[in-house]
Amino acid sequence: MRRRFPVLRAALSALALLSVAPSARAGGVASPVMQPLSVGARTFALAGASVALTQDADAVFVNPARLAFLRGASVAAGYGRLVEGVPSDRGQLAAGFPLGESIAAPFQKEGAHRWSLGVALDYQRLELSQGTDYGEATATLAAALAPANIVAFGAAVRGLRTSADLDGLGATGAALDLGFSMALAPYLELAAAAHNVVGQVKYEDSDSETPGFSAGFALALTRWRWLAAEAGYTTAYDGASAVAGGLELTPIPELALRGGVRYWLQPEARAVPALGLGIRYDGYFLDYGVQLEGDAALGLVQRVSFGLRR
Amino acid sequence: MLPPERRRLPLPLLRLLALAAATLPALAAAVGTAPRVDAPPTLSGVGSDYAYFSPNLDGSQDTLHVFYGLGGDTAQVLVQVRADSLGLPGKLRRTLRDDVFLPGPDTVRWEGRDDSGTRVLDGLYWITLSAANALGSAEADPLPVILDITNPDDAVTLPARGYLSGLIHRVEGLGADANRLESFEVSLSSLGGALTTVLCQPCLTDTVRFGIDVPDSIATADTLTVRSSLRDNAGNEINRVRLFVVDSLPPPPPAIAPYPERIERSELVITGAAAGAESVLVSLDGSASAAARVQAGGSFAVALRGFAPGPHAFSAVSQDRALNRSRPTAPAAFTYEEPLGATLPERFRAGDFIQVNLARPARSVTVKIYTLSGRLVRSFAAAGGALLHEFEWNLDDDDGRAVGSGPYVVRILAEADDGTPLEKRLATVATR
Repeated sequence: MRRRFPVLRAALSALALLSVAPSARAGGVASPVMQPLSVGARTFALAGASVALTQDADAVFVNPARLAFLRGASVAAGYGRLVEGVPSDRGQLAAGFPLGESIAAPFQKEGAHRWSLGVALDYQRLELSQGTDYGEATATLAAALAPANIVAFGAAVRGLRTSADLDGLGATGAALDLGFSMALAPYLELAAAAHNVVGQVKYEDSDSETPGFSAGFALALTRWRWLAAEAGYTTAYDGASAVAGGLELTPIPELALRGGVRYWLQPEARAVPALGLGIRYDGYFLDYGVQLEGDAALGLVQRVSFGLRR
Repeated sequence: MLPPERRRLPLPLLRLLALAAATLPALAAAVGTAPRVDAPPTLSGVGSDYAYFSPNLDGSQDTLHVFYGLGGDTAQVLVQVRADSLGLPGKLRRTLRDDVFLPGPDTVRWEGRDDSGTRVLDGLYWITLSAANALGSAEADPLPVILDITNPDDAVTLPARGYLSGLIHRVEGLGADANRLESFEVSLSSLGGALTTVLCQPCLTDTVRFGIDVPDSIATADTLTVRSSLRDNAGNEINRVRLFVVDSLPPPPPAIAPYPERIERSELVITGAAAGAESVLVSLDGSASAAARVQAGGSFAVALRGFAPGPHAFSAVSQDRALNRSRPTAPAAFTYEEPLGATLPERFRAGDFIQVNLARPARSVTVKIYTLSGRLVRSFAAAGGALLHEFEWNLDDDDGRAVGSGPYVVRILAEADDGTPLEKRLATVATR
């Protein structure tokens, strides 16, 4: 007997798997390294609410399944400060490449390719309390498969290496991210991404640990050309959870105004608003984002990104 | 054999031939058929007035004159200018003469332009001459000429700048031209006297270096004038005058205005006056630290930043435009008391402490530990009163669960007695 809605069943299975993963992993010591911090200024300005809205090479970090919906090759580079008051910065470079012919339907706003690949490099550096530099660098290889033009699955493998002029702070690690994205309607996108589903991190002279898991679920609305919005929920290995909403207004094709709020439910109730804007011309973009947290945990944090987004 | 009527030419053709025979000599005369000559041409006495010339209308070697003598008999004379092609005449640039001439001496002028009237570029050109008539031809050896409208240049490398500390005892420099200098002369003068040195005339190379020892009678003056005069073979000439001010006296030390001896920020702005100085240099704890230009009225302000908490000492020197420096001021002490200080290990292990030091008692002290994604991991709080607070962190979160190895941000907050919020962030890497 032929099964009905095979794609939808697979999607629901993926969501269910991602949602139970944190509880299945509870109990071990999870490291905060390899958290998905390497996001571009657009995602930053949307307060992270772009699990279903990511539409460029940034998908390698945010949701590898979204690579399947690139319209063409995409490159994105970004830079930002990690923590106010501490000499620190981070930078990333990512590229996404659709493979083969497009399988997008004629009415489909987004692109769609059966296979897509992504690669990314990122680093973060911060000065420790007595002046020693500590750095983390990761390399990521991602792939996305779209069984149909409205649904895609993605996976990303990430390798980590840390360095510092201090004994015991060198570490290596590897982790796997999974992603899913599906159009419920031509203007409604459902997506989920899980970071560090499996993996291992080991500092010198220390026991191996698992990199901290986190998962996000999001629903994005792209009904009108001038508006894109996303609402999502994030849960993490340490019991932290947050809801996030982001809004992108595009009054003219060359300008995008963005804003978002991430509201932490656990471990402390806290709202982190973010704002940003983007300039775009002929596929090339320049984005800026800033977090406007009143009782700032990390202080005023800003990011800038540029690249090619078809 | 053809029949007789075929051998006889038709009457109209005969008439045409007769007409042609009568008019051809006249036509030949009308189109200028070469006159009758008795000897082949010869060329002699070929030369030019300059081997280098500069058609820049400066009144010196602006036009090239090419001389030659035509011998034999009347001939067609062709004089051309060709670009250089690997040491031989190359592409035609200008035809100076192409006409029939009677034997005798003649002169052709070239003002440095091509057939379209455009000034040709600097470089080597060849003048070619040939003559021909009905009995033969003659060709002269190509005549090389260098066209050069670029001025020679010079530089004084020592003294290296306009203001000098101490006495000048030597002036060094060079003069150069792409097509060889003809003459190069340097004159040194001051109130104490003058010294003129002809370095070369004629010069044998494109670049001429010089080093002139300066007599004390000239060097001890306040201003040394260096005049250089260069001329190249094409008649291009430059004359330059350079002034060097000699200043061997150091300025007085700067006068430091009163400053706070106890500060709570890692910044101290030092102000004062520095007469006769161009800038003030400040060293902090024996190391050069900051500098500032002296304003028109003689005042200055130098900011010291980024020093650690604790006692420090600074001193300052004035520096004038000739880089003469005053003796340093006496060391001046100040103490930086960080209002909110903290100490914690860079590699944090379970059981290590976070120490918070206050310059003055505070109402409350809070320590919050975050991941780099901004998630709160652990909080500590203490009531105010003491100047030193210690918090032990066992690498657990607020719910008592173990946290993993990795980087964390430690945020310290305190509320001073006057209500002023104090805040500091530090980073550490926890390892289990």
